[in-house]
Amino acid sequence: MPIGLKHFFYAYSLVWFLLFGYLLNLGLRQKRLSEELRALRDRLTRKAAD
Amino acid sequence: MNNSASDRFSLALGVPSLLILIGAFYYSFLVAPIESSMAMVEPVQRIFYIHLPSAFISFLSFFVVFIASLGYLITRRVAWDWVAVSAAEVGVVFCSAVLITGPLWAKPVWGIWWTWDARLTTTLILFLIYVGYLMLRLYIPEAQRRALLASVVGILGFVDVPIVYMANRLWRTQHPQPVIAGGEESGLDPRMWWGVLGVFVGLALFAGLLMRQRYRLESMRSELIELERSARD
Repeated sequence: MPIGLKHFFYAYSLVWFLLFGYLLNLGLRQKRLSEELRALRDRLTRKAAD
Repeated sequence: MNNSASDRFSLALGVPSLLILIGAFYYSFLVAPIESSMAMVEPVQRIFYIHLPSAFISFLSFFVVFIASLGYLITRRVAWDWVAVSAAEVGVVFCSAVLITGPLWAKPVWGIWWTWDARLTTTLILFLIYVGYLMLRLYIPEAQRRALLASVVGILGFVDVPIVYMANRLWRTQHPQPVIAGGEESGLDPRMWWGVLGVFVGLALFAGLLMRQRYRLESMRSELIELERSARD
């Protein structure tokens, strides 16, 4: 195995893991917030109707 | 921007970013020549193609924090604060990439993971400044006070960026001498530059996508707070 191949592999894997992990994390945070927003809007609509 | 327009905008950044990155990495790994002094550790030298562009993107992101912080202090418009926090988080992610890839490159070349030389130490300080910036935001519940203090830190923190950039010009460092504007003996083979440029453009678009998504999160959070307030009234 060429010298440094392991380090090369780790470097690129970790960077992609970091970037896509962060993107995934942003997506999950947005999903949670949009669910909270939807629930709150429903509550406000019901409150206005009562 | 409504949801579908925002999705289209994200797609317009994400798809070209991935296509450019695939092409740029293909070129960097298989076409660009190896740096002559590192022929013995050939694959590890290719870490350069992610290490240098990540550093550029983190500098660029912190510059956006600086500009947006100034924008907030001058106009007091909350959108500037959202831009600043989005750029700070993305900058920290790319600075983490620099701090991960640097030691992985250093170990087979220098024989050590880390040394406290000026370039490495100032980069670590830069990372810690912006982690501190993000932590500061978590501990201040009141929005205006948070934005004001964060803007001050965002402006002062940027002072470290030129210091990081100049560190290996001003002091003797273990880190290699600069390849950009580093004097007569600096520079890269033009074929290597094409690889760096391609990865930089691809990562810049990806960083734009991340900032856009983070900004959207901040605007949704603000909307939620407003709705909670009207639900209480």
